[in-house]
Amino acid sequence: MIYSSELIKGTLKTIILKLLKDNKRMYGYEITQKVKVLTSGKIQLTEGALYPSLHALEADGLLTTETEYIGKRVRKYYSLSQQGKIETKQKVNEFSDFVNTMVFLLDIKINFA
Amino acid sequence: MFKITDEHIDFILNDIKNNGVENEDIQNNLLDHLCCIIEEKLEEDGKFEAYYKTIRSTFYTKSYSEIEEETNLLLTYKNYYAMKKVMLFSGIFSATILSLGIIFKFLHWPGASAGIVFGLGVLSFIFLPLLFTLRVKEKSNSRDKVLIVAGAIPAIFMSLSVLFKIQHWPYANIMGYLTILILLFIYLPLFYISGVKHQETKINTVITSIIIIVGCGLFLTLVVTPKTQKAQLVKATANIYRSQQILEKEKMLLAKIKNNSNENLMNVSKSKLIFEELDIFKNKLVKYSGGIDELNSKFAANNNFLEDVMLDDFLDGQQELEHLNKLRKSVLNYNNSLVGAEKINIETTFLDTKSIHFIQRIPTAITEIIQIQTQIIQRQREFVAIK
Repeated sequence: MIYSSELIKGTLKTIILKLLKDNKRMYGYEITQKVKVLTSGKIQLTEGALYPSLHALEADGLLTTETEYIGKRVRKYYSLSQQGKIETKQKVNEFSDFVNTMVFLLDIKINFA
Repeated sequence: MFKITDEHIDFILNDIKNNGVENEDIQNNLLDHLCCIIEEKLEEDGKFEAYYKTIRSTFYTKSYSEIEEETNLLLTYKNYYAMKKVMLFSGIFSATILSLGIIFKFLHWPGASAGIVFGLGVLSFIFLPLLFTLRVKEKSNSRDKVLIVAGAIPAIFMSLSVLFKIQHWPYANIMGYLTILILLFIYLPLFYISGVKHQETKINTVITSIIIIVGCGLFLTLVVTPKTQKAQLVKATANIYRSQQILEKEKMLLAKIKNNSNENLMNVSKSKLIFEELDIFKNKLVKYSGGIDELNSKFAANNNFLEDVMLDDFLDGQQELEHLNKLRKSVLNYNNSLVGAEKINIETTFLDTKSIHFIQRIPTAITEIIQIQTQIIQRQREFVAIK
């Protein structure tokens, strides 16, 4: 089952920030592949959602970037800024709180299989 | 693994550009992303172009430009919230400062005009422009945008016109008239036409239009027309000139009496000195408000007039303020040297140190000087008569 894009939309920034926290420095394609592997293909980030979010996070000052030439093409690496590290912590905490609330609200029986 | 050549890269980059992606960052990101997929997934002998086209279609629904549009949307959304915050904050701030300024003004506390000027300034230059910019951003229809701009200009002009008026800065009246003109002849027709067409907004449009017309009408009935204003100033100037003529006649009569009398008059030199000091200050005021060296018959006869300006404006220069203080001191000393009924009444005139200086107007100040000078002359004549 692949999750609907509505579900991904609200968490995309949190996913990106957390991945960058764990992996220091990543480029766009790498992020999509990492997410795919970690979720066994259940979450597939679309390019149309990923890059706008990366740009917005950069504009917010949460990400720093560096570019490298791979032959003729340019690869842009993203990593967390100081402010980004703080924001990541807050976003992950907020989401974990949200999940707890949803578990209670939707009366979900957690399956630890 | 497929080997991507420089030609392939140019091909992809051109395709991205031709699809409406202008931002170089996004171009590079997409290019790298596409190359990664191709390098990893396509077999060594695979067909590049066909494969590129299949993966390309997974990036968008219509074209690459969607990605750039989405990016811009996210970025402007961020500005939007910041602007909204500044707008709300500046609005609350200007309303508070303005209200405090007005309360202070009524209580005659210091800082009143600073509060009013600052409040109106923030209102005109930060709050209103932001409010209208945000409104324009919210609307997609270009007619709505024009309507908002047509409303924004008179709103800002009106606020500035009041600010300029209370500060006695130039062009206050012109801005006030422009406000009314734009409101009635540009905003109102646009507003009426766009609103009256739709059944659901029809009644509100008609009611608001009536309120705008009546509001402008009420405002205009309160306004003194430029012609009336000029006539009033000419009349006031003629009035001042008549007082000046009376003074000169009195002065002449005194000179005649003096010539016939051999008595050594008391206080004469002191009176002459204060009279001349008053003359110098009076001429300065005449020069400032009328642009002439002294008030004469030619000036008064030709429909010229002394501008109704505030004494405070004249006192803006340090030199003038010192001059006034010196004159006040001289008048006070002169009065102290006189006894009882001989004293000149200067209460509530601008020479009274207890008077509220910011309500003083120059034509009134000139009249006050002439009256004081007349009183000085009359005291002299009285003195001669008693002798």
